[in-house]
Amino acid sequence: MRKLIFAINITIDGYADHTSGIADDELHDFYANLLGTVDIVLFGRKTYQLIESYWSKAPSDPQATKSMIEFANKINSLPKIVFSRTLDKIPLSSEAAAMEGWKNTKQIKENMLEEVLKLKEQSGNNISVGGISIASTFMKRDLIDECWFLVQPIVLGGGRRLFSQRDGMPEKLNHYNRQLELVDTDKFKSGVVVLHYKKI
Amino acid sequence: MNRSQKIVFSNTMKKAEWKNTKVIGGDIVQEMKRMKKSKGLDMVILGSGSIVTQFADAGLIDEYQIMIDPVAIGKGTTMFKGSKSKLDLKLTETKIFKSGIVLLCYKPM
Repeated sequence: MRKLIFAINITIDGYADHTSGIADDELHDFYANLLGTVDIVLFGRKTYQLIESYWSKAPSDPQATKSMIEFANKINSLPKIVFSRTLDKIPLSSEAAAMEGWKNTKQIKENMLEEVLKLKEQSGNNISVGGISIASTFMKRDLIDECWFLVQPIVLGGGRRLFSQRDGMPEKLNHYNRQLELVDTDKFKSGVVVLHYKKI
Repeated sequence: MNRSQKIVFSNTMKKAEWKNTKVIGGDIVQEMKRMKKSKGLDMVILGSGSIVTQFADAGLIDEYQIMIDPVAIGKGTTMFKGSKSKLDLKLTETKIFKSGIVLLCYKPM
């Protein structure tokens, strides 16, 4: 069975805010290496559009560092699935459309959980998931096998939380309490601490 | 705990029964500035989310020690709730406990 893995930047106070963290080469190298263990990436619609809008054109960005370009090449070349009921067609940013964007993306509208279970049963490398809402749904359904939290040395005081009840839940789970096993930790020069957990 | 000098910050509590405990109300930020200037060992806040937010916003906390439990619960009280400004910290130390708890120590930038 393939593993479903999830990695995300998070502040000390538990907010997943992509605008506030320290995104240096060490961080991009981490994500590029993690994607090296993966052969398909799953997205919710918002994260898909967010990542596609920059990373599909990053290889031609003169500001992009070598680490950023390596990460971009990795994410751009991997097959992707976007789960979205609302879009008939995945809109590409104009830059991405010009370079034919993320062509290797399939949209799935229905039966997200069944689709993930089917993917997990196929042979292959790990499956990665990106997006707070769908990762929360998968977490609560015990579908995530390993996760990495990159704790940024920042306190935000407010924002979007991970694994909150409002995210992607068809019904309330009032007694959710998921113990995880700490696998290992790492530290970046920036002060980011990587916490790696797996399902018990 | 019983032997230590304790302070309760409260505007509603009149008196604390626990020995060695003083109740302080009113402008607790001003009071903390005074206390930091006085002589003595370090002072610690254990938990107490609301006063931590106020003191952090006022730049009065010199060191943070945060323990992360290996559990996801999806709800509950958040740390630094209502904090007015983004706080950038410097990682000073980490420690891993056998239980899987990770201790993260920070200082303000």
